[in-house]
Amino acid sequence: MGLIDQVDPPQPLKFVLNWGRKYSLWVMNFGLACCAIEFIATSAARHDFMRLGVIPFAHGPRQADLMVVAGTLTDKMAPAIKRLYDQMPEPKYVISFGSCSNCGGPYWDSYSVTKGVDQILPIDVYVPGCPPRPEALLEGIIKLQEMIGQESLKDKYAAREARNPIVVGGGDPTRHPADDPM
Amino acid sequence: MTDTAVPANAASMPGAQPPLPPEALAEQIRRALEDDALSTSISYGLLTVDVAPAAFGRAARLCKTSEALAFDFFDFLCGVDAGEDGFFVVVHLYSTTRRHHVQLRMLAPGGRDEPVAPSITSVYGGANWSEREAYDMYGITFTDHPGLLPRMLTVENFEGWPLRKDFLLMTREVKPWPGAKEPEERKDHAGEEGGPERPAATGVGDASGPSTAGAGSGMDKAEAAKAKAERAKAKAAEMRAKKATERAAAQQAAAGSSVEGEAAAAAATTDQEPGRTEPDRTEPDSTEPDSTEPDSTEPDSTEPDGAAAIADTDIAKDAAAGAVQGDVAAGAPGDSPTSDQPIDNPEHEAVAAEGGAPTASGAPGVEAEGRHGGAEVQSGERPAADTPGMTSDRPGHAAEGLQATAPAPQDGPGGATAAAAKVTRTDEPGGADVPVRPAPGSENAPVATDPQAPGQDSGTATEVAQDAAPIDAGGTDAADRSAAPDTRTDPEASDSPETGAGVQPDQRDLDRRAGEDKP
Amino acid sequence: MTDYYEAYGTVLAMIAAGVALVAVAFALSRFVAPSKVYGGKLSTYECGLDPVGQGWSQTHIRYYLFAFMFVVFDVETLFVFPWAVFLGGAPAETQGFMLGTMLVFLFFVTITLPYEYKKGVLKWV
Repeated sequence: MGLIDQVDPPQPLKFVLNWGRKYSLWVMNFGLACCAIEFIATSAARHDFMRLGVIPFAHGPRQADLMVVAGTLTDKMAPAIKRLYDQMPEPKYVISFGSCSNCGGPYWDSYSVTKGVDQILPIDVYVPGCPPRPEALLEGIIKLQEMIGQESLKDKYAAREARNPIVVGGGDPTRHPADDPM
Repeated sequence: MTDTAVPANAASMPGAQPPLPPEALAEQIRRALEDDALSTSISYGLLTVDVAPAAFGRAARLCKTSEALAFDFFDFLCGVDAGEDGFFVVVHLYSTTRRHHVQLRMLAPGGRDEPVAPSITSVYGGANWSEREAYDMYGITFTDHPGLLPRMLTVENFEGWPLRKDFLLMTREVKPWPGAKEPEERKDHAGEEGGPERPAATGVGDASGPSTAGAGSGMDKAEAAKAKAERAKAKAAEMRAKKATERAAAQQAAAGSSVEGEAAAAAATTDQEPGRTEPDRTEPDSTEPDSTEPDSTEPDSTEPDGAAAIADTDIAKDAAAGAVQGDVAAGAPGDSPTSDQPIDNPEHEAVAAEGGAPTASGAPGVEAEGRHGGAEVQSGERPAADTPGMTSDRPGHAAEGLQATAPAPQDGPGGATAAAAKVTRTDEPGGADVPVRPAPGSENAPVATDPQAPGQDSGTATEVAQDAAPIDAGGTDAADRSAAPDTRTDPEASDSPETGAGVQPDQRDLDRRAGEDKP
Repeated sequence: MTDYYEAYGTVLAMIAAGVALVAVAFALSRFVAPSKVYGGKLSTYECGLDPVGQGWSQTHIRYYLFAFMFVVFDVETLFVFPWAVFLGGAPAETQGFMLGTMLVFLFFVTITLPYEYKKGVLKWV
């Protein structure tokens, strides 16, 4: 039924729900390359994003709220990341960490790199750097938390659905090509 | 940890035999393989044995089972792009009991079109995925392999063989390398906009220091290289002409082929000199590429028209002017093409737009190739050297090719260009044969040191040059270039290449060979 | 009499609380949480790849022996607990008899262990 994405709860309740959501992010670390090391460094003792409520290393997409794409996304990996993102339950957020996932980074001219993970997934926060400092990731998480604190899930899903393409002849525009081969 | 020398504690394990020195290893292998061991070479203490393709499996099995050799450890297998000769397959083996290394190298028969090699997976299981990698990256098919498909490193439906020298990198087609240029290129494009200047490598192109040492020996090789280049050019020329006609017809039907053809032709001209192409590219960038870049970034059916249209003007003029670059034979390297039109960009754009995207297998810019042959269109269905971008990368080729022809009666660097503009287009492929490397060096080397030098400047028919990426060519060749360019041609001339990577790239000969392209 | 039933009432209340806790949690999630099923969201997780093969992963039947042995020893433990409770409160003369009885019982259960060992059941296959 999912009332929360259809009805905006009253402000106090919305505040509480948003507060709970933003301080209990469970991260599915999608560490692909060097930025993964910085992600791990951020999860380690010195910088420690767990103090922000972000629990690292979810066991799988189905236990995760937040996906941090850290590293270079190659064309071969792209369908996998799309599927993993699909398998995350709502509500979910994505942080693009590092310049490779922002825009292709130093491999912008490669024949096998997807120039930016935002070609495939909707991104909430971009953290630039090559690799970004752990503090940058912490700031990115805090920015994301501020965003979540203000967000209205109803508006978010309404906007997303408004962007869905119209499929002439019917059909689900959000289907994964592998699940619904034409 | 190569035990190049026999250390005192070589046989540290009880009962282990000491490692054989490379010479002794070579002797053993030669004795066992007899005629199949084509040649051996030792560099930096590592023995490389060139093996006949038919005996490659036998050689591998021998290495593994022989008591004396005892190569039980498979280190790696890789492909090496050897230019016009095709592809090498290099296998590095190590003996854990005797602690010596060896490399077996084989030139895959089939040339660049259909390189085929026997698989040694049955001997060394570790070769399985290494061979798959060689297949994914170079297109070398391994017979009796448990399973080369699906492609492992690239996406399954990837077209092209990425690590081939003639593989078009589309982003480089659209926008040339904006960073610092290699010293050789820098000299050619003195004063050009571009990246910051790097301090020149020692004696690059100058007859000083180590370069002089190599200059002498380089001359002979230069002769050989020239001859080779000429042969290749002739061959390429006719192939090109043939292809050009087919392509022209197709192109025309598709979309304003004439425009494209000219664009291609222009591209071809720019290929001539590595240095040239760079500057040309950068110059036109300011003017043309900007408009066409967006078009050419994504090769579309629609874009080529637009890009071509823009390129058309310049290219057409360029083409009509006839191998302007060639005229500069006497000019210093790096002179911008006589034609004022910025050629590079349009051609790049056009070529890129048309079909610059690496198509099919390993034949980038097949369309470009097809456009070879000035026969049909003066402006040229220039094959635009499959990789217009390449031209800059491989200055050597263009230059080389021209050099070879320069002395030839047919085309004086200057005069021929005009007349030969149409004809030279076809000749261009010839230039491809020449190893790319020399080109940059040769450019730098003044005409005096290298008779071919003048020809270089006139590289009208640069179409081929694509192979040598200037970047890698420059980087590794910096030292080599100091010697006469001919040294680079050595690999072609002689059969004693060093271990794969460094030397082989010289001979790239992309599609120039005409016929490389695989539709 | 009410005392007798009072005890059962406590148990019942505990069960009801447990059930209610779970029910409320699931109900809240069902009614409040957003739910957008699309694309491959319900597909089997296989690290982003298309799942290969069937999702049924069957354990070899030979491991039934471990379940079997567990049951035996678990039941034995179950019998020992109440016995231990009453052993302390029993009159002195019956304690000896109770202990002896239980030791006989334990002996028969424990004697199976060397038997299993000799049969090789205690080794991982």
